[in-house]
Amino acid sequence: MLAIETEKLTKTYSGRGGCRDISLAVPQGTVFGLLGPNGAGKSTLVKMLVGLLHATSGQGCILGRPFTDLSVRRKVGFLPENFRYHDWLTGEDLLRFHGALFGLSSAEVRARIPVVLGQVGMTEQASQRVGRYSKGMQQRIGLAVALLPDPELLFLDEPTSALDPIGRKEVRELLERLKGQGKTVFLNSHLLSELETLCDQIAIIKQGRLVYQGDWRELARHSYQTRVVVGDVIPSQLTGAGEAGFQLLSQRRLGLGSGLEAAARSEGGSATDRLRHELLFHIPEQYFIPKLVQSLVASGIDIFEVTPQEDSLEKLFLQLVTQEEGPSQ
Amino acid sequence: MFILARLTFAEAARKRIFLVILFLSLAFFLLYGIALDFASQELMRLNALRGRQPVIQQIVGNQLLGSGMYFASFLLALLALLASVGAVASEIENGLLHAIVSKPIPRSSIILGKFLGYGSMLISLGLLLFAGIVALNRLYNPQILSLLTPVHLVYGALIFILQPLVLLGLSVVFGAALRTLTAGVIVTVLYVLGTVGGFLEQVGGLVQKPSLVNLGIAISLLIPSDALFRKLMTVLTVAQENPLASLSLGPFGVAVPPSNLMIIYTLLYLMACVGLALYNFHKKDL
Repeated sequence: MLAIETEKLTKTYSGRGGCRDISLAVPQGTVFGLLGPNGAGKSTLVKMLVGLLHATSGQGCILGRPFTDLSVRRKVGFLPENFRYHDWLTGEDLLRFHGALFGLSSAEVRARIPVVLGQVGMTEQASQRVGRYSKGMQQRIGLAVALLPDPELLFLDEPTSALDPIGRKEVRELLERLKGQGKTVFLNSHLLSELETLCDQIAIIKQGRLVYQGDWRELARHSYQTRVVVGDVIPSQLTGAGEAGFQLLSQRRLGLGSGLEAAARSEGGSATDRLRHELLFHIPEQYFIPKLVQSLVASGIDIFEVTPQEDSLEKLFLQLVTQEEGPSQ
Repeated sequence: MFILARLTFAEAARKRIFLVILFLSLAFFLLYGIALDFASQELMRLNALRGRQPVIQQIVGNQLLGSGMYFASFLLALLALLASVGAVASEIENGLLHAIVSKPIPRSSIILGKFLGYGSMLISLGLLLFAGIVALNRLYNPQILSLLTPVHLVYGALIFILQPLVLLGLSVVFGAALRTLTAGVIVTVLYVLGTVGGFLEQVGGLVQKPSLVNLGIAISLLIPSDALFRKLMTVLTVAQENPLASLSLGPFGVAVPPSNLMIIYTLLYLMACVGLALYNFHKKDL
């Protein structure tokens, strides 16, 4: 079953802005990242799914039920982007209040409060007023609120925006644990490095439209590159690789470090022996690497190092959002 | 709904404006008690000099009772306006409602919870103020309340608390649709308009100008807060059974008493306000 499924979900403001025709499929048990430049419509999509905005058209389901169905929200946690809580309540009172709003019994709330406080590292501060919390602590207590009903699906809108590096790491570890427990996390974040580490699948929204969804590593593999460090090489030796279908993207001469140079000299090697070149090839798939190596060896090239190059999420994201046109699903 | 009502009540009672109004109410009672004491001594001195003066006693007593009720109503109106106008609007603006609306509760329960929370705070304070004024008048000015039965008292208390509830209803209606400042300005203007309308109606009655009376009635239908005050005074002075009540006009007197239909209209008005607020909030994008 899909945790989130939308079909042509659209929200516009007087016919402008928002997001249009979003058809999304988020599998259960995944950490799903939502990406897009500022104003692309990411928060609009999240707000629609959690019931803050009314969809202009389209439909969608959360955990198998229409997202407009209130009962489904019992198993959905949400940390808003602009988190703000009753600052005169203590952290514990706030959790008690939100627990009641989730429809949890007093016993359930009593049992869950220490658990979620522990998960977000706020046990010590539970009796302090929310108004006295730092912004990072407020974000943590917001996360605790979202975790209160032991949700099957968690919407986190910029969950680490106010956290320091340690806090970010803790939240990352928490999300990994939740993923391990089979929870689905829908993560809207600008921090691509964070999404790269956590997310299995991503969706990219550009100007209100979905331009990509799926496994970002799969996308990265579509432009697989391999770095090969070889000895001295002449252009004619590289024609074999080209004929075998491997496109040479770049070639540059590498300088040896002083240590390596000394080692090469002590071994009595010539200057030519000490030369190293870095070749960057484009290959269709990872399993083409042995074939590439074979073709280079067949051309008489000495190979010292072969490193598969994977595009970073940031690079892919920039490629997709700066493209002039085009859905590439 | 009751969880939100409880939280709203607790939050409203913590607001600085509530504490300020509470302090002002205590100061008001002190000054009002002193004024009643002076007036009572003066009337006793007059009675001793010239014998019993029921007309003067009636006129002065009515004005004192009316002024007490008027200023208490004004304090409550201030509280209703300043405390509740941001109840929905400012919580939408600052994002406080985002974490609440996304919960498995209908939006209607949020509005009803807010209305109940602020309403119960206004009712509690309103009843205290009403009871205090009636008690002080019973102590210093017993003649004016001599015809007052428990039914009149309960009816009067109901009318007294309906005044801030009308403003609360309007605050919630406009707060669910507009920004805090805009909603606050509109409700304040309506409240002032209601007072002006009531004044026009009374003047129209005195000078027998039907067009002014009709204009006042039309404004009372738009915002019935002043009409409620006039009705309150006719109930508390038991004007129908008191031949001297008609002599007691002045700023707090009643030249054209509103009918009981006005109370029924106000109750319907309140229900319409809540219904409109529910509709506005249901349609609202946060």
